[in-house]
Amino acid sequence: MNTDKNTKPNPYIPYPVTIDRVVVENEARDIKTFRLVFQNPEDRRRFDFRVGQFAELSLLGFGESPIGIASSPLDRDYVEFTVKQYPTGVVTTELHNAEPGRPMGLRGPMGNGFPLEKMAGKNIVIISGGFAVTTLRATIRYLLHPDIRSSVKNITVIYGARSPGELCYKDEFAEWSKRKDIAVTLTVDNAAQGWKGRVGFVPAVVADVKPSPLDAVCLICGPPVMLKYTMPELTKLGFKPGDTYLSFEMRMKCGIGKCGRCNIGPKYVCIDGPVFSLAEVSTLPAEY
Amino acid sequence: MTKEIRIIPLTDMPAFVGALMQGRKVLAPTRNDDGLCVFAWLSAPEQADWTCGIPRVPPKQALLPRTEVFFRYHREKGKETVSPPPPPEPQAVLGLHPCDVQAVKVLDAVFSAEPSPDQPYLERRAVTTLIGRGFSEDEPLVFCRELGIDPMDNRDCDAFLVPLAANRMALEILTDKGAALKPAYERFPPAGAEDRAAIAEARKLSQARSTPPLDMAAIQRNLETIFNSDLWNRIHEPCVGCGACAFLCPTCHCFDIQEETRGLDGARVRVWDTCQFDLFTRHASGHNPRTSQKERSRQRIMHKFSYGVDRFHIPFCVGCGRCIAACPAHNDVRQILKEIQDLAKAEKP
Repeated sequence: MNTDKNTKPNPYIPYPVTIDRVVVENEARDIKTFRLVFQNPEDRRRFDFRVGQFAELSLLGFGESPIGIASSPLDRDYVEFTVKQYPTGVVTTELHNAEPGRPMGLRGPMGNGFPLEKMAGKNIVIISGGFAVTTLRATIRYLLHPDIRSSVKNITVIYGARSPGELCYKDEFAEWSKRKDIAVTLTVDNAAQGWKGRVGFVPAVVADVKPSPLDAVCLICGPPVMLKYTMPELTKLGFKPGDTYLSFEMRMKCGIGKCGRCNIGPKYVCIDGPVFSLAEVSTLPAEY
Repeated sequence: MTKEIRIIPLTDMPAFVGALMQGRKVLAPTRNDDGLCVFAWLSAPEQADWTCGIPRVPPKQALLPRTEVFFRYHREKGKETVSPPPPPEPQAVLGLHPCDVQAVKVLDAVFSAEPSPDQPYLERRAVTTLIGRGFSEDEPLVFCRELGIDPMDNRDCDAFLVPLAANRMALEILTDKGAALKPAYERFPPAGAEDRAAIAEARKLSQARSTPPLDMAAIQRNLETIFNSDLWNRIHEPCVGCGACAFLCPTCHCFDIQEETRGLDGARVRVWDTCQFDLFTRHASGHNPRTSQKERSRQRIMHKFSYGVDRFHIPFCVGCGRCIAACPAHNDVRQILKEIQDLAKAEKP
């Protein structure tokens, strides 16, 4: 067999990074965004990613956790990850206790990312619920970059959360809402004092906003229940399964297609995904 | 050029093994305290046991150790240092049945695959010499012939032992790595015409005993249509989810990555894991895509005979029969495969 490949770097050794900034995203304080800077600046160039990819966040002594990249590839000085803390999550709990200056590790980038080639020249419809918005936030930041904005046509974003306090990236969404080159609709499940946006579940808001399927690519990330009820609305509007993409979450360890736990049928979410078109998903067993 | 073949009397095997052990670790069939044959690292040449058939514990630990340190680390406030382990030592795996050699090919396919070849595996593989062993009789429970593997086939080995009459072994040297064993084999006489003829005859006899192989293409095709079949209920109902089938399988390679810490020092390690365990796929949120043993039993069969073949064009089963011998519920992969062949005929998706 070909053993020349063993000259490649060890894919299990993380890049050393340092937490530069921590932002609490929600009222429940269980979602935080971590800005990481590479201790060796040349590692940032090696960490060459596209929107929709993920990485393994590594905390020595605690373990690793696969998290979608929340910043844009054009944010050249840092990489951001938005992490929800689960009481059962050893790594996410330790990370949530971390403060700026703490060293940690980063392994990646991993996965396929969103289909930028297919999105070029198209209208882009982005639908999200809850904190699954992270890689879509990366996508919006990327598409709104002055060098990139003209590569796609209209950008329509529908983003919902349980309550105004649970919306992530509030300042950015507020700023994007004022822009003319992107149409943002924010919604919350329950009316709240001071909330001026819409009230209603994401599927209902999609039905009401009626994004056009013409010449469009739709990216959708959210909790299973949101996906379940939003898909029929998209079908009614005329979105084709081949033009609608979603991103899967799975328990992952290696992130490079070896350890054998994140497959859905023959596809590994870590290397064949996490982004799949609905057309692809329909060929896979419903084991996710 | 004629292939180099040396003749080693069984009584001289300890001398050969002892010489092999100079400068390299040797994994070979041995008997443990219970008299059970297992592949284990030799500490003395006499431990290698030539009466073993297929050892219950497979040789995969040579390439995929049960616990493998990816790196060690030391943590202080504000500072962390990571040190990779020393490079692997040269090693030989001695006495591999041709089906165990095929299993190494499966591991090679998985761990060398792009986009990220598994560098720790490949480093270990590069310093590993495979010395196979032919079997003139078919071992009980072994069904490798049905998977197209001949127990006398020396392919993909660096060297290969063929049993000969009068308590002797022929050692075939097949690659440069095999030739590098010269200090261990040069004291033994080269095979004469008669012994070469005997080796050829043994191969011919073995091939004559070949059985009609299972139609692996049909099995793969059928598996795609029976994801929701009742077959999986019948397989998983007796299953206790112990994972013995996976841990004793020479091709099963699924692993976990764990932390081993003591104070501020620690190591990140790879450890064997199995799709038969509930925790294997359970998310931190509690959600589990494979909720019961049914999904997990199905995953194991699908991975071996459908998904693996899909991706690597090679079944992840070599017919060694270890899982049949070890299963406390008497699940028999031979019956399962035959059933899959027949079931798809009887049952429409």
